[in-house]
Amino acid sequence: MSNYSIGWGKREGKHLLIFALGLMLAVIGSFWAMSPATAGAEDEEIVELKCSGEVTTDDNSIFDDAYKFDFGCNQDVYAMSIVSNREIDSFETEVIALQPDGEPGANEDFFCVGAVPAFGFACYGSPGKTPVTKASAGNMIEGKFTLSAPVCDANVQPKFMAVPMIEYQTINDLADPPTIRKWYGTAEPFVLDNSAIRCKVLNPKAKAKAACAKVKKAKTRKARATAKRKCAKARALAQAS
Amino acid sequence: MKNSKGSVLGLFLIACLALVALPGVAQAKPTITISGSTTVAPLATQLAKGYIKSCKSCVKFKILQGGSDIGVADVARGRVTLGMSSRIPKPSDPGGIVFNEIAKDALCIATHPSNPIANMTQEQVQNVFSGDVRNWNLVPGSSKSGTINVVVRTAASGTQDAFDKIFMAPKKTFSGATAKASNGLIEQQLERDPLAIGYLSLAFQKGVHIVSYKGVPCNLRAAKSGQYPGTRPLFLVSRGAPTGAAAKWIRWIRNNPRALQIAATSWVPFK
Repeated sequence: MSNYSIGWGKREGKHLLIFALGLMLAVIGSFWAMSPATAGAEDEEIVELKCSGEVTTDDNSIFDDAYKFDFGCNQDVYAMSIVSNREIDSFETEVIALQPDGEPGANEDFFCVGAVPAFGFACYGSPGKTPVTKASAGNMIEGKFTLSAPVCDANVQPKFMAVPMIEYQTINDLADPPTIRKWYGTAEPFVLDNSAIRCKVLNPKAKAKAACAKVKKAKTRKARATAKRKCAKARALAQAS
Repeated sequence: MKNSKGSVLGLFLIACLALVALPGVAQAKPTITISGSTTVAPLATQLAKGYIKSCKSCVKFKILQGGSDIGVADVARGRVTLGMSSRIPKPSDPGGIVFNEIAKDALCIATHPSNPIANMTQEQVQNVFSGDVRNWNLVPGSSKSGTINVVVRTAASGTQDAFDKIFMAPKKTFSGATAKASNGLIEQQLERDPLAIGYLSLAFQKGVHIVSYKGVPCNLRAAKSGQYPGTRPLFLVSRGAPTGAAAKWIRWIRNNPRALQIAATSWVPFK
């Protein structure tokens, strides 16, 4: 009887491993060859508009309920509106854009206009200027406004948004020669970060009034004591707001 | 019988609609639209807010800008209720308009912080802004050397008009000066350019050096006391004597303690 066996021996296994590795390298190599970097064509990415900003309290104002905002995008901003779910009753009438180093951008100055009280206002550059006024990409427009009522006197958390006006562009490479069209238009609203002024309690005064009204209505001593505690807590929160 | 029932129902519905609509009409808030001076705009906006609170939202405002000449033109044509002006009336202004003074403002000469000239006389101001003197080494008190960059306001500006009348007359501003559309833009230019000189309203002093004029510092105290010679009145311009909501607002601005307190932050209040 011989000692031969049918199946994978050591030599066959080694060959199989080498084959598998080679196949893997070939597959990886073909993906690399197909990747955009080596495709040979010059692909142009459309830069996604990204904007951000925030709203914080303005502690230097002569008015109560005064706030500061800043806003900027990764593209030039030619005008903007600030919109809120809170009623705004005044705004800074001239705002500027600051560079990342804190210096004002040259001629990056906007006039703000609008109705008061209203749920927002608009800011635009000097009309008829050449070159057109804009806040350059990366610069932040800073301004101020005040609200008609305390920010937490409402049923929902405050929300502030900025709507920038940007330059749109289409390139028709199919035309000969290629044609480029440019125009100005509003972009979508961007929510401004207002985590610094979020309300712990909405309508704190109304809630305190309701809580304290329960003291008289309480029928037992225990219930009255509980209601008094809740009333005191609600009043403290209302005062702190 | 059916017809009369239908008529009664129709009349009843009309009466209900009228009851709903009439109170709404009676309660419609007047809107005061204002346009004009970029100098007056910050003051007017604050006074608008103060008044809305004071009269318990009895009125709404629409705030626009454009410069004093725009405000005067707009109100003369009835496009706005009131025009904002930081200059006195000009002979060329349309007839029938009334300049209602609401406050005063100090007009300050300003330079870059690295060029802290202590004081300028009227002659020195006129020499620089007329272009007769073109180099900083000829300006007493300046440590700079180089061509002076004169920065002024554009033609529609009441601030430009006031500067010409208060500081420059009978000389004229240098035609080669850089013209800017607002106090803020002049403030920006002066913050960035060590060789620039310009003028701006007292409320716009961030990041610039304010030069005393005729030996008097340009500040609120000197403006209020009447010592500072560069003050000018600020106006809300009406078409004829002001009436209605506009008249009430102007009366409030001139007399109400809260209004005077608001104006006193960066301006000289009416009284």
